[in-house]
Amino acid sequence: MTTMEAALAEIHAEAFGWALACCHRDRFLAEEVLHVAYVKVLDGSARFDQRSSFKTFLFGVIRKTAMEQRRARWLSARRLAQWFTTRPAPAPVADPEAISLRTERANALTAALTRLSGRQSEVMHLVFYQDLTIEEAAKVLGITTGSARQHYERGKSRLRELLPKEAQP
Amino acid sequence: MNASDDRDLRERFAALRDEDAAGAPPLSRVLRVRTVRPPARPARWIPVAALVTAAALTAVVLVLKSRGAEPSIEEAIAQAQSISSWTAPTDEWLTLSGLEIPNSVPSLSLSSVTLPEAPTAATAQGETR
Repeated sequence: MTTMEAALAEIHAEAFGWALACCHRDRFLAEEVLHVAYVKVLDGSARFDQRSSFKTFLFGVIRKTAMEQRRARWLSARRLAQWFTTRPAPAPVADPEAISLRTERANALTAALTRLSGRQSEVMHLVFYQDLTIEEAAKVLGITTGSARQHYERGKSRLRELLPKEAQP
Repeated sequence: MNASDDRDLRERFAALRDEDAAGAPPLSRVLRVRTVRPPARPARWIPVAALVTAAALTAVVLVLKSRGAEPSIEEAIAQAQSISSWTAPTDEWLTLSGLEIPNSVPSLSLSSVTLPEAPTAATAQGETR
């Protein structure tokens, strides 16, 4: 395993979570996006210049790749279908039954996130899910820190409205 | 908005993260997808471009070849003569019967009119006296 592959393995689960967020929780598309992003990193077409952390860099690549994939989705439909027929058997953990066992809290959060604007949802995910700072989230999204902070505040406020209140322990 | 709000949100996101992590595909599978992807097909425009280029090159060669071969002087003279001596096949239609009369100049010796002779010099003087 190369150094770059080891670095990918270290944050693979978080990268998959970010890919899911960029693909509107579409697992199939997220996996495809993740694959393309990894290939970009491994073959050098996306080069890590060490101006930020590797995680921030990789998240930027995943986000850009997801945007490209969405833009070209109608073109790649045939390719995806072909890939689906030739892909290896899915791992047992990825079966639909396991997905349906998601906790109620997570379901409510997922539903609430879909009602935020795209930017707000992305900032919420990067800050709360990925534990990035607002500055790092801004770098991933390619926006200013001030703009990211604004999306963060509005998104948080909106989430509080949308999520059901829970009894404090 | 307070710290407990943030904590609640973080807990919810943490739950979502744990579930996602449990369902994440193994890295090896994500990387392996590359190997089952069909090889990229060559672009379709390449054969078309090759044909167009070949046709353009052939045309250029033919034009240059036709311009480069200059005829010799004898050939040029013969060609000029053939052009200058050329008559249209329909020229014969312009020849009408009787048209040769106005085209020919009449000669006096052939006239049928008898003219009086001119007077001599002596008769001419007597008359004047």
